[in-house]
Amino acid sequence: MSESAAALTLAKVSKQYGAVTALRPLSLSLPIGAFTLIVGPNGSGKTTLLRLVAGLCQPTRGQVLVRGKDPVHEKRDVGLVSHQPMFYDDLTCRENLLFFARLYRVEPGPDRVDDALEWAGLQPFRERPGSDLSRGLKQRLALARATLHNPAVLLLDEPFTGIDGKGATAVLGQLQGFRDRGATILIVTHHFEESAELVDSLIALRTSGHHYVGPRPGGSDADLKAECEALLTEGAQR
Amino acid sequence: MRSFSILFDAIVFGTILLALYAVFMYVPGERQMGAVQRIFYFHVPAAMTAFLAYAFVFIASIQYLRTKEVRWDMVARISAELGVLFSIIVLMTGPLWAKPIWGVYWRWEPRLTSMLITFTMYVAYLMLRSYSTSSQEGTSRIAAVMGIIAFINVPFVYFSVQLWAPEQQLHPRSVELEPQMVHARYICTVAVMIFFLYLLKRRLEQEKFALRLERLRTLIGNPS
Amino acid sequence: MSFAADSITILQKDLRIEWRRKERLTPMVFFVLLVLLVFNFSFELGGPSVRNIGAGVLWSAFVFASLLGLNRTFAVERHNDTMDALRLAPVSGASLFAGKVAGNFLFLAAVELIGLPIFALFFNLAPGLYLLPLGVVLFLGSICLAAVGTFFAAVSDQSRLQDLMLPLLVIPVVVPALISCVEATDLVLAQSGLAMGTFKWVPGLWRHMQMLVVYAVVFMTISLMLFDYVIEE
Repeated sequence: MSESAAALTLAKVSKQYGAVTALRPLSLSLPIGAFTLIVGPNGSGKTTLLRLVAGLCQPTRGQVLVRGKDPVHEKRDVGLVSHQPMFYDDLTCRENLLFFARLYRVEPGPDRVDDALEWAGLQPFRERPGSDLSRGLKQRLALARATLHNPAVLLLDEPFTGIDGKGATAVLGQLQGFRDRGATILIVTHHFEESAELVDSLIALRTSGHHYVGPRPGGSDADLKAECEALLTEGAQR
Repeated sequence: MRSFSILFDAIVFGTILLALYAVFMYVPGERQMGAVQRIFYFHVPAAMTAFLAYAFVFIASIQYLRTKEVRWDMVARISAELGVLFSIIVLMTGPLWAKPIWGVYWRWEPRLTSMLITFTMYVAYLMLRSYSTSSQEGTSRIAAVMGIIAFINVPFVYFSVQLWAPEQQLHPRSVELEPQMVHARYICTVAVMIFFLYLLKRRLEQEKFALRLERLRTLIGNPS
Repeated sequence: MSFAADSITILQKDLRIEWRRKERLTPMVFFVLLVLLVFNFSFELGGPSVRNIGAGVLWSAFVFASLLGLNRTFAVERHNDTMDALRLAPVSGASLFAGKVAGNFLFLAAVELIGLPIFALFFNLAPGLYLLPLGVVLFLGSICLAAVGTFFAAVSDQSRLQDLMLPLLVIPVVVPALISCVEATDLVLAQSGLAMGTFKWVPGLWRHMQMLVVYAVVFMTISLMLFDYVIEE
């Protein structure tokens, strides 16, 4: 498919930090609306991959294109939820979102912020400072922050850590809604049961460099966990 | 390349010998100050060379930010080290010369003070490199930024210290020199600067070997 | 202009956070008082010594206090990784820098506003027309200090030495501006003993102010150009 029709294209992208290889060369092309799970052992480059797509660092080799543009320069097409909440503890939920709305030129700011708070189920907490929120609520605020500007690609790095089942379901509901609105989602997680329904493609990163990129081998009804484990053992044997 | 290298080394060696001869044998003794005045032949060139080194840091830093090539980073770091070295030579030979002549080891007069401040800037540069927590590339980038700012600040330092204590100027402005002294001065300036280039060359070679060794180690350590 | 808009957004955010936390202004002001106290035991502040050392004492106190406060500039962005959020946003490094400098300038100005009366108290200074040019010198000096301090706060954030690295970088670089600040203040304070409505303009004062303006412009320009390299990953 042409580069601009694909939501995300990687052409032989690799990342080195001095002598350390963080990500071995990876090429892929994801269509719009894909819900992709990234799996791999420690050190295979999952977080590095997300950061490269987010435009937070530049690849040592290769090219990353989000909607046909370089994410380092065009920042509006990407949203990232990582381990850290990335909002200000001393500002209220509303103030936090208003701040980011202004930076992203989201118009009209206050209305869109109220919509986002509503959608994330945070309206009762809108005037509470970020530090007051429980872990689950913090994650919802982080997700609201990342989606405020309607990015074409949404990246999530272990979003379910420290959240109970109910919280995870809520987050997944938000993600589904987001995917239905035309976004492409890349997620790193080992909470296979919760995400099994939504995942339609896989990226299995291997330290050997023979990465797997493609649809789920077993189809959408297969056991996601088993599929991933199979892919990773297969990779380790090469 | 090797023969050029040997030729260069020979030229350096020859020039230094010539300079030593010029300072200790060729030049007549100075009337007022006596033997200690001969430090002048090394003190002034060392100061000029320090600034040459700092200029190298500046240019290498800009080039590193533009190209991200490691060799520019190496040149910047080594030049900074050498610049600090020559600054120390200036700051030590200054008092050695000053005590017999002015009667005091140190006076807060413009040239020495400016040299001291510039020296502290580049020591801070070296500390930035030593105490960095970033990756190798991050450290190089931050150091390059500091290398640019430090050099741009040098004229400000000199100008403002001059503004601060113009009456304290104890360095002679223009000195009447015998023609032999002028020759000696030129020879020494060339000798010290060429010595700097020699040190730079050797250190660069050393660093390149170290880098190759490191890469070989990694290859052996991680079979792919 | 998005540069101005972004800078103001960041400035407002920082001011709001400082208003809630109050962790920079109060300690800084208190520190000025303590430094002046220490200087008093070294030199006798109230007497004729104000002619000789007043300017130096004033600026020493401000510089040390500001180094304390400047260290915190990017600390707020380290917590919760909001620095990454700022890197993700379409905000240029230059806007971030400008917003932070503006915030630091306001902090420094506030410290000086509160510190100056304390200084005047210890030095037995009577109010007079000389306060106007003094204000201008403080204003210009604060801009220089805020610009240099903010820039190196970002640089020293990446150092193992953290807080300790900032003064090592700032002081050598800011010396030219500091010299002009002290000299200009000296010239102004020399007139503090005169009758209230008089102030005699000294040409040296103009030269120092020009120096400060040039320094501020050059340093801000270079910093705006280089800041992206500092925060890059």
